[in-house]
Amino acid sequence: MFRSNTSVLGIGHKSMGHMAGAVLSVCLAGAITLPAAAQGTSESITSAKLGAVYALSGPFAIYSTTVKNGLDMALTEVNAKGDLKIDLQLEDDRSSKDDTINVYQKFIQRDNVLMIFGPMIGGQVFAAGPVAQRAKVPVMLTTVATPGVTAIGDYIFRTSVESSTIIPATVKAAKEQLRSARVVQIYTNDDQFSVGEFKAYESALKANGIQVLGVETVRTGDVDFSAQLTKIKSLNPDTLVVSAQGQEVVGILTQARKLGMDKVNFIGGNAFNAAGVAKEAGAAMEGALSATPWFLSMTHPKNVEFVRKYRELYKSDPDWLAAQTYDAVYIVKQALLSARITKKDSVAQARTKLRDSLAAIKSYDGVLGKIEFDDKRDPHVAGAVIMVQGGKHVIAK
Amino acid sequence: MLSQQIINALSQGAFYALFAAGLTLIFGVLDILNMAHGAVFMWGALLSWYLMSVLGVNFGFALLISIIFCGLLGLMLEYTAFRPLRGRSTGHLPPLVSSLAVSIVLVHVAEKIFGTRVVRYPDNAVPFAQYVDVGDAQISLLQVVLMVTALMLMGALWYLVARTKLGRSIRALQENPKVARLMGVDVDRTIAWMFVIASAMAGVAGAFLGVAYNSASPYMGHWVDLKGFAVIILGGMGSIPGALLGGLLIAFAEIATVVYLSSDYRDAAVFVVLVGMLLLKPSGLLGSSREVRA
Repeated sequence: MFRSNTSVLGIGHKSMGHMAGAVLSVCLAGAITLPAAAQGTSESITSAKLGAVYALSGPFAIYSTTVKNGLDMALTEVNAKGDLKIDLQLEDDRSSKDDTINVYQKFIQRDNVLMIFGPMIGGQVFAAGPVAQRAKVPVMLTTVATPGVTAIGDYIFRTSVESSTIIPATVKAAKEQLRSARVVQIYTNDDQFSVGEFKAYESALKANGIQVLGVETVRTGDVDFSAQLTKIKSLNPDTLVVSAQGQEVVGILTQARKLGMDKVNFIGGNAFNAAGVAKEAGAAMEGALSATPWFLSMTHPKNVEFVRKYRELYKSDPDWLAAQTYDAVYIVKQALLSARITKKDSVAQARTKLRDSLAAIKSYDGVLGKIEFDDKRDPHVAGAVIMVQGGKHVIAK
Repeated sequence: MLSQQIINALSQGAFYALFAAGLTLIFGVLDILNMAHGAVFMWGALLSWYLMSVLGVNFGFALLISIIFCGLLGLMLEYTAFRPLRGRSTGHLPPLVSSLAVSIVLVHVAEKIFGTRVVRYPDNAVPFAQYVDVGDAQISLLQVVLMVTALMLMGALWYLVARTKLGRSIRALQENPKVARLMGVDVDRTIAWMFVIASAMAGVAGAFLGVAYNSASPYMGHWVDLKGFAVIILGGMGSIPGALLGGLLIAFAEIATVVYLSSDYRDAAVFVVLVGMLLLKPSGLLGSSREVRA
C-alpha cells in the first residue's frame, strides 16, 4: 500500500477509496430506493443511535454519578418498551472544553449520531455547542443551568432549569426566613455558570431591596480563599451569597467557618443542591439555602415512582440532575417517535426531523412536575426552596 | 482584619518558599527549569492523603513516607529526563520539554491511582487543627507548624549548601561543571542529590498544602508551578534566602491586591510584580549573575 497520500497516478489512494465508496453507495442507494419507490412506502426506523458526553472524570465529575444513573435508568425503561431502541454511546470529556469539542465532532462525523446529550457545564456548551449547531445536530442538555446556552441556536435544547428563573425564590426566602439585610456576594469569575448565577442574584437582591455590601471573586481551581473571606468578614455581613461550582463551594464554606464566620448564613445556587457537595462541606453547610427545580419529596406520582425505583436500583437518593436527565431521555424518545424518521432518511434529514419534533414539544409532565418550554426552548417549573439540615436537604420553611 | 491578612500572607508565603527552594536550587545551578516540580509536589500531597485517609496513618508518618517517596521520584526524574540529555550540548529547551513530559506522565498515573476528583481528608485526620486567637485574628496550629517547618528546612538547605562537602560540590558545579569534574567532583552524584533534596522539599510542601486546605487532586501542581517560577525569578535564581523572600513577597502582593484593589486581580498581581522585577533588576532581589548564594 502506498505510504503517502498521493500516488504516482496523482490521485491519492485515500481519494481513490472515496471515489470507490461513492460509486458503491450510489449503486446501493439505487438498489434500495428502486424497490421502495415501486412500493411507495417508507419504513420507520426501529433503532436510533444517540451520543452522550458528560464529565465522568475531572473537577466536574462530582455531579456525574447521579446523571449517569438517571441516564441508565431511563434508557433501560424506554428500551424495554420494544417500539424504538435507543443505542446510546456514552463518552467522557474529562471536564475539559477541548475534549467536549473532540467528542462532539467524533459523534457528528464518525458515529453519525442523531443527537447528543450533554455536556455537563455551561462553559463546555459555549465551546462545543456552536459545532453542533453548525452541523445541524440536536443537543439535549440535562445539567446546564447557565443562561444563554439556548441562544447558541435552535438545535440546542435543555431540561435543565436556568438558575435565573428560580434564584428570585431563594432571595425571597432569605429575606423572609433569614432576615437577610447585610449581604456579600462571592463568585467564580472565570466560570460562565457562576457568573450567570451571580448576575441573577445581583438583580434579585436589588429587586428585593437588599443592600450588597461587597463583592469578591475567586478562580476555578483556587483552594485558598482566606484573603477574600477575611475581607468579607471585616464587612460584617449576615449572609454570604456563593455563586460557584461544587469544589469551590466546599472550600469557601469550610474556610469561612474556620475563619470565625460562625453566624453568617450561606445561600447559593445549583451547586448547593448537589448531595455530593453537602456531604463534603459537612457541618459548614448547615442551614444553607438554595432553590432547586426538583426536590426528593415532591408528591406528584411520577416523582414518587422515580424516587422509589432509583433508590431500589442504586441504594441512594437521586438529585435534580438525575431527575432532569431522566425526563430528558423520555422527552427525546417521544420526539423520536413523533418525528417519523424513516430508514430512507439521510442522517442529516433525520437530525432535522428530530429537531423539529423536539421543538414541537411545548410541555411535558415528568419527574420534574409540569415542565413548560418557552419559545427559546428553555424549561420552566415550579421548583422549591431547600435548606441543608443534618447533612441532608429538606424543604425550607 | 489586617492582622488576619498578614497571617494569611505568611502562611501562603511559607508554601511558596518551600516549593521554590528546590526549584531555585536546580535552576540556579543547572540552569534547568524543572517543569515536573509541581507534579512531585502533587504526589507528596496525594500520597500522604492516601496514607492518612485510606490507611489511617498519622500525619507525621505520612509526611516521612511522602518525603522519601518524593525524593525517589526526584531521582527517577534525574535519571529519565535530565541525565540522558546532559551529554549533548543542546541548550535549555530539551530538558524543559523532557521534564514536562515526565510531569504529564506523573499526573496521568496519579489520575489512574487516586482518581481525578478532588479528595478530602477525614475530619479527625487533620493534625494541629485547632485555631488560636491572636488578637482579632485566627491562626491554626497547622499554619504555625508549616511556617516553622519551612524555615527549618530552608535553614537546613542553606547550611547544606554553605557548609558541607556536598554543598561545596554544588557550588563548584554552579561555577563551572567541567572544571568541577576535573577537580574531582562527582558531577552525576551531586546532581542526583540535588534532585532528591529538591523533590523531597516539594513533597513536604505538597503534604502540608493538602492538609491545610483539606483538598488534593492530580491537578493541584499546575497553579503552584507557575507561581513557583515567579517566586524564583523574583527572589533571584539560585538564592535560597531569595526563595524565602520571593515567596513572602509574592504572597503579600497577592493578598494586598485582594485587600486594597480587588480579588479579580489577585493572580495578575503576581505577574505584574514579576514583570516589574524583570524590568528593574532582572537577576532578582537576591540573585547575582551566576552564583548559588548560601
